[in-house]
Amino acid sequence: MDNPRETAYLELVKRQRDLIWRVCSDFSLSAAWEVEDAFQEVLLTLWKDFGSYKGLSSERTWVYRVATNTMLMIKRRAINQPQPQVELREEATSDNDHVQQLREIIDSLEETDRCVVCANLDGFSHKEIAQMTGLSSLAVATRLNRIKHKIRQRYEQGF
Amino acid sequence: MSKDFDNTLEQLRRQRQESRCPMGDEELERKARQAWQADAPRAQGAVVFPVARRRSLYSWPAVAAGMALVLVPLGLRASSGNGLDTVTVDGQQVYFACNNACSSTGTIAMLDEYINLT
Repeated sequence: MDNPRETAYLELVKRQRDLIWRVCSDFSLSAAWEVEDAFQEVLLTLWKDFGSYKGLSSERTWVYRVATNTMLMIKRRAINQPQPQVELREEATSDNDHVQQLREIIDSLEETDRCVVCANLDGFSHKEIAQMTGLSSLAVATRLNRIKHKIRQRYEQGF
Repeated sequence: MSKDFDNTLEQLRRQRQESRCPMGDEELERKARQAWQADAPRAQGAVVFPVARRRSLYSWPAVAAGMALVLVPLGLRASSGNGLDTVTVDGQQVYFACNNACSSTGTIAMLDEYINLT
């Protein structure tokens, strides 16, 4: 691999693979191969946008933003396609079920709220989430409080 | 069994931060290479779209996960792929290339979908 752009891109993908995978998994819950497809599509977008990364935010923040935007685009595109039937779950009986229950509540949030809370769970600071979403740091903090309150209510009511 | 919200949220945070991409370096490198190979014709005006996502809609065993297909307007050379076909879309001939061996039946199915999407 002699091309410096290709080498730098590959190094970036290797460093951020776990993060990319996590974003893809967030949006593609129905089948493992869907996550792989989404991963491939994110790699393509990252490659296309690679030249435009100016280092204004951290590499991790930039990758997360590109991956999230790609997944939102895929999700919107998939609206018109037949969706797999979701099996209704029984009442939660273990800690894992509770985590799954929480995951489903987060999954049902409005898009921006969902992205903000996922980024927060993934360890991004308010400032970094602000860079991803275009909101101010203060707005991110306020929004996070509101979302967490909403999630907590739904969780405790068994949504 | 605990239904404590803060505890469950912390468990979810931990699970997320501990989750790892299952791909090894070799597979990752292959996928990364496919990304820039698929993008090369795009820079010349070709339409690039991933195909594996739609394999649930089309029974096309030759399609491997992670492959990308490109539609290259006639006159341009497809720089990626060993599967290459020539077909007609709306009266205009285009090359249809993919970076994995594929069947002409699959090619036509994908073009049907491409036409429906555009």
